[in-house]
Amino acid sequence: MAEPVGRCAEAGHEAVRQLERTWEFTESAWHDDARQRFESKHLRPILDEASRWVSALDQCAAELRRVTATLAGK
Amino acid sequence: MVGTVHTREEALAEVHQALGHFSGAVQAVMAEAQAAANAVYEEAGRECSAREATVSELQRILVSLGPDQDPAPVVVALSRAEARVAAAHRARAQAAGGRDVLASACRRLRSVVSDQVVAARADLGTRSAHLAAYSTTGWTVGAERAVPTHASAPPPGGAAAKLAAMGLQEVELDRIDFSDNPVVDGGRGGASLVDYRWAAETWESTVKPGLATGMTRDDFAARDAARDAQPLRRTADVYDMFVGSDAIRLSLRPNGTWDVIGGRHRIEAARQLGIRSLPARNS
Repeated sequence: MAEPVGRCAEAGHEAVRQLERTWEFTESAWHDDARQRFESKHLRPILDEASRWVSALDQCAAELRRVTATLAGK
Repeated sequence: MVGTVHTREEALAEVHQALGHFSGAVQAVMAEAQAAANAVYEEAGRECSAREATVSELQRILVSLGPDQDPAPVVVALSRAEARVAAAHRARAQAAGGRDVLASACRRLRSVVSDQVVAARADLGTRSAHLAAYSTTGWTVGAERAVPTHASAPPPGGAAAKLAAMGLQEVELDRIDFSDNPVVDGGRGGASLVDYRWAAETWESTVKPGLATGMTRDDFAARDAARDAQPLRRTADVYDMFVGSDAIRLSLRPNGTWDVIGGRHRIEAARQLGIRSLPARNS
């Protein structure tokens, strides 16, 4: 039962990585000051909160694995 | 995921789309993760009830034993069952903790997705609209700064006269022909076509408008220093490449087309970006 949350954590990490990859990929075509301002104002806060969220997913998955182990008497 | 991105318009569209995918993906993951965490909590609760029922049953058996029946095996089983109830309660508390951590993080991220992702995509949409206006009308309106068109209309502020004073003239790129010597390799100093595209775009969006407002090479060098601009990403170098010591050099052929003495990479990059004219020196 805990593993669905583990898989969700993986999917969350991948969503964040994909947004980061796209941002890096577009640097060769968009590289002016406005890009830096966009990153500071919009993208960085989004990625920071998303990173906290995937950490919470990891933490929750680990906690639920302990629940499963406890119920199984391990 | 992403394909090839050559222009700023494509980059804006790519980031806009990526933010949309991100938003959809995290909302789906949040829903699935919270459902899974709730399921674990409920399973722990059911396990508590079942184990409590076992304890009740053993207690009932214990009190119903006759005086000639040995209570020891039931007492041992009851003790084990009570320990299993305690473990189930601990598990349920752990599940509640994990569920609450997740719920809190999801609430915060939902707020970010509903506010900041939406604002970021709106910002990108506005920038794209400005760029579209820039491509069709020559000037962006309401952008962070006015930028001149890709079209070949004379730059503002008497820039044509300024170019002439520097020994340069604005040349239509479709009148330049270097088909007998096409670009097949990288440029000088390890520069790639991506670097030349950056230079051409920076010329159009930053250096050319700066010149029109009276900025000098020293101003661009100071700007680079303030930003700790790295090699191949310095506006002062762009100045040199387009109107300074290393400006594009052309030679007029009898048939009215221009031959390229130096600057094929810059011209090629500018063409890819939709730029229609560049300053050049008639050698």
